[in-house]
Amino acid sequence: MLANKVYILDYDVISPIGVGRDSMINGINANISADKDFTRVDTKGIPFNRAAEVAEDLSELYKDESDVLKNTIQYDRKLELLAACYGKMKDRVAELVPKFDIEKTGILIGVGADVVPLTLFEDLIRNYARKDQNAIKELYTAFSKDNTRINTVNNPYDLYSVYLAEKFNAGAYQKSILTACVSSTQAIALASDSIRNGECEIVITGGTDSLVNLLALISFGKLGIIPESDGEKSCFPFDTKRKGTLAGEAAGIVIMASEEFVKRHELKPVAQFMGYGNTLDGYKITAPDPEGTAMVQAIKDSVSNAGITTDEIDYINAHGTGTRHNDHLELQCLERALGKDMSTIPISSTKDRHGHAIAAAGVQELCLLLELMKHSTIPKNLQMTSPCDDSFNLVKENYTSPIKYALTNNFAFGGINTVLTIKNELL
Amino acid sequence: MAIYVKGYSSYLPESFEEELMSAVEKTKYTLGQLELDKDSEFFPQRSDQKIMRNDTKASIVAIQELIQEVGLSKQELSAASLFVSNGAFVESAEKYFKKIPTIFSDPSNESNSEKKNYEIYRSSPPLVALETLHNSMMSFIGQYAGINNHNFTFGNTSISTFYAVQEANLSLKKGIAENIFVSASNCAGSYSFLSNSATLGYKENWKESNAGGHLLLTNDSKNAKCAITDVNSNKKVPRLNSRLIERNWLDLFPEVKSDLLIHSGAYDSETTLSDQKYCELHHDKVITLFNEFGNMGTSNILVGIIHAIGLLSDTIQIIDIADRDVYGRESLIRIERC
Repeated sequence: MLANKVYILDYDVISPIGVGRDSMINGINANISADKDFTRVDTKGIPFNRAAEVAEDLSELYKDESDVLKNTIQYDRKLELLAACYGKMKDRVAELVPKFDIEKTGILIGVGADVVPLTLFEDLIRNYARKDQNAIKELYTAFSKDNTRINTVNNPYDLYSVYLAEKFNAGAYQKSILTACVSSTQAIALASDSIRNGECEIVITGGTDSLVNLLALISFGKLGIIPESDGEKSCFPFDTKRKGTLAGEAAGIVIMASEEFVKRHELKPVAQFMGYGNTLDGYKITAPDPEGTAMVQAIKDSVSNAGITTDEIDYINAHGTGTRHNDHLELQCLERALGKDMSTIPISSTKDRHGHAIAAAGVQELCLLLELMKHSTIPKNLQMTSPCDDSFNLVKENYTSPIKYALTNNFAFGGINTVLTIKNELL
Repeated sequence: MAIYVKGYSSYLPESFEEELMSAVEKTKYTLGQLELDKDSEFFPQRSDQKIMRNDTKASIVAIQELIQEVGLSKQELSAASLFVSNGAFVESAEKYFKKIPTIFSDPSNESNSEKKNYEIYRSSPPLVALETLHNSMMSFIGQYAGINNHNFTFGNTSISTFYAVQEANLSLKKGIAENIFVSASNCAGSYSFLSNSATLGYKENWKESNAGGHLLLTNDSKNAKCAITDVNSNKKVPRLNSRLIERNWLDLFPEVKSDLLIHSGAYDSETTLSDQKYCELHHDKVITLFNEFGNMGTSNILVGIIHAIGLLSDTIQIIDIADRDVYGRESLIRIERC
């Protein structure tokens, strides 16, 4: 176990099941699922039209941003979600931020893929094409003319961390982690290292991503990860009838602090970041290693680095995407890593409620876990009716039970395995 | 306390061509291209090639050449860490959208969104999500090199490689791994050009290149190519609302002066010349790689380190490598002869 303790001071999230952390737990208790036909984009003509979208208008939350930023937000959903998340928490952290030392405060966030919503520029593209001009190049060039470092489209990925650096006065660094489904999970893990090794005393971490757009749905659908829509619920983690995941979107911000900072300012943290495991399959980009060797190692490392025993784990928030192969492999790896009777530790995936937010999956699920800890709630696998393996405690009903220690798992395309161990400091 | 470069490999642009970007705005740039060694025994398998960018293919060859040279065992490789930085993840702005203008221009699609969406769906390459996967470079390196441990992909401006080296420096000092690969690869092309020129503002004589490489870093000085003795960056908050370039590298220069300063340069020759003049005000011997290679984005720092290693001699024992990314963030890495 590493020496310096790392605490979570504050957090917030924009999720399809709740705009803001407080509304998220209400969504869990009410068993709300955002697995719906989505409305923001016209999907007539393609076979994928279910996604978990943040349906609320978020503009009130970033109304104070500059016009340049708001212009980009029109075309960049990731930026909109992140700005809204900051807007949600800014009043609450207003007294905390002035305590940050600029040289000891860093930003570390996971960011999803760049998607330019070309359908919004249909008329422009048509005009270029009819003049025999290279429409895509001309379109991008036309959007490159303002006098700031904020592009209308096609920004470098560090835009999001630099944006947060301005908000939190973070000069130590502004880093992005770009590792698909574990991007924000890795960002949170690396943030803990940065605090433990004394590089920073505060790290603003988290991530942002959205798959709720035409091109992402088509590309993930064509890979067979998102099932074709049939007008019914589509995502069934750990169920025998599981057939694919649910495209989602989210942004989350987590403020992590050193023990010394917490003591110096007499703060009351909500949780302690205990440890993590982070491994690479080194197998194939297209599939996880069927042996699960690296996945098992990541789970083991997370628990051993946390300095706890398997018996102390009160809940596991699984990656549980709802794809046939991944859910099965995750359960097998949990059993091999934790080496005990798996009928005792409650396991659930919450992706059937809020969808798979890819780069923001880790932070969305961490924020949800912190809410579950705060409210002593174990959530059920909402859309599971026929568990795929009865030897595991795949939670069938929501119930009340204190959570002191919990794991949250995320596994990425390309074989990256990142597992976090969290301790509830409110018990 | 220093860390050491145990081995390195790189791939650099070998041909340069002028590319027209916009006929309307009359923007153009010079693009440095890689020559792939398709006969190499280390060239990726055919099934992987179709979802790899060209710079990824070059990277896979280079990592295997490095491993062969340094002779790490399978166990040592499996336990090694891998920190990666990438430039753009798409080689060409229009590669995945080439049929979109035709679809939008078809009059029968203007009032029929179902037909239009179906045609977009039909025209989308089936593997686009894998081709543009952010961590594809890292996952392919893991696959071909057999690396299974700690890993991150940082990105995607030039400071990302500084962050990767900084993380390796901290990880080695903490004893998390004995061997850490830092890999950088810059995918230049129209997508990269548009992103960078929009952030910085377009200028004449723009030049950027595909390039990359790998460093193997350890705590062990035995047979090391050089020591990395300083890893530092300006602790300032970048400003998004201004493109003003503030040169403050002076704050990063260590007390003991180096024998040579290598700076990355900018994306255009005029700004690079201003960088050169600033550096010459504070240092006696300054060079830039821009004139030969153009800006190599995320590979600037890594190629700078490798170039510097080649220049170490009895008279040049300490070299500083300085960089500024598109958000104005400055960094400096110092290497010393062992």
